[in-house]
Amino acid sequence: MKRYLCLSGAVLFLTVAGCASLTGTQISSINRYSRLLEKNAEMPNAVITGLVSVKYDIELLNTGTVSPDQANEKLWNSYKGKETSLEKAGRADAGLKLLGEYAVALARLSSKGLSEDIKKPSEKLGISADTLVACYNRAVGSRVPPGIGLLLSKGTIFIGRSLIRNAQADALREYAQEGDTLVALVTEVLKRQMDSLILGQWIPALKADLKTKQEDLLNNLNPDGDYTAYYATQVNKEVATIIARIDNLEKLTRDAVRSVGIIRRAHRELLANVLERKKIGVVLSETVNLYQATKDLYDTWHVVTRFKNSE
Amino acid sequence: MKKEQDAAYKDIVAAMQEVNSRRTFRNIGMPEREDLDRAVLLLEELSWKIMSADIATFAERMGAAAKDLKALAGKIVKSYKELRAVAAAIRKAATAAGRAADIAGKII
Repeated sequence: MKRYLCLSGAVLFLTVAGCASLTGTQISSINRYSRLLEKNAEMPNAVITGLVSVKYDIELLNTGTVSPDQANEKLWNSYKGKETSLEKAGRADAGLKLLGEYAVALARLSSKGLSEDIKKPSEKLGISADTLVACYNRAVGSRVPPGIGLLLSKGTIFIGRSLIRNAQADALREYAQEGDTLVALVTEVLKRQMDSLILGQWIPALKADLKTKQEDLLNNLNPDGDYTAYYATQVNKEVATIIARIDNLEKLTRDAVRSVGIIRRAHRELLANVLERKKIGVVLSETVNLYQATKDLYDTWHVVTRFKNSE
Repeated sequence: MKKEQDAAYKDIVAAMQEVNSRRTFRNIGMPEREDLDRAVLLLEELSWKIMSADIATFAERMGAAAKDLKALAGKIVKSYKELRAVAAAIRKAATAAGRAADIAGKII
């Protein structure tokens, strides 16, 4: 009987320990990457809504150069255009939110808490078992060795954690592999669109539009008027503020495009890392780069929002 | 399609530039000025339509590219819940065994 017990224990130990769970560093890397990915997914929409607001403000610049009736119409047209665009931007956000959803799900699955939950009740079991052994020894006068409870507690924690960690590792490997192709596709589409639409079309068009409106305003000022110089200065000040906003949003877009490239590379590196069966603790360089790029992105984002709020 | 849209966007800005260059302090209140102002309004309206269409295309492409991620995120959440259930079962078993040992200790 004793032999069978020993044999079953050994088989269970080898089965549990034989599966390669991920190291703490590997799990932390996935968790860190997922949180960075979630933060990055918010940025393209922030750029789009920022540029829609800039266009609206550009159009309001020269409202005074048309008749009062037309100025009214112009204002409401611009307002309607802005609202429609923002509503569509909300829909553009949906695709990006899926990237965020994937990141959140991956972060939850890579949480250390999954296997940590077992520790407390298992320790309590150990203490109870030791107390029971002590009671039994006292009552029967036997010499069952003390400390068996500690062994039981450690065994339960080991087996429980190993089972969960192995299942967690298998699931993370499978999903990271599946996610890699999808992340590559999403980041490629996102990068291409931000490059061609925002950097290639909108920003140059908005700058040209702003210049046109500025010239229009200045051309419509009475050169012999009493306050022409004052008005011209005010117009130019406002134009300068809008130029700075466009520049900040352009920088934010470039930072976001750079981040998107790193998201892709970091995912590939992460996948290669979790597929490795070696239990080595490594800090993934691309995840470190992504951390830095996300920090830069948020620094720029804070400049954009601070600038907007200080107007 | 994309090239046409590129051209349309640039054309709007170029046309606005053209119209605005004719709207000066000298023709304020003149009959031709009203037509020029009307043209500006129409061009601005058109530019919003182009911007909205651009955003819609952006949304469509992102949605198409990311739709499989939704299914994957769902699968990951399901696995997470299953693992939580396993952890909870082990926790419950350990707690129950601990209680049984406590009760047995009291009986002895």
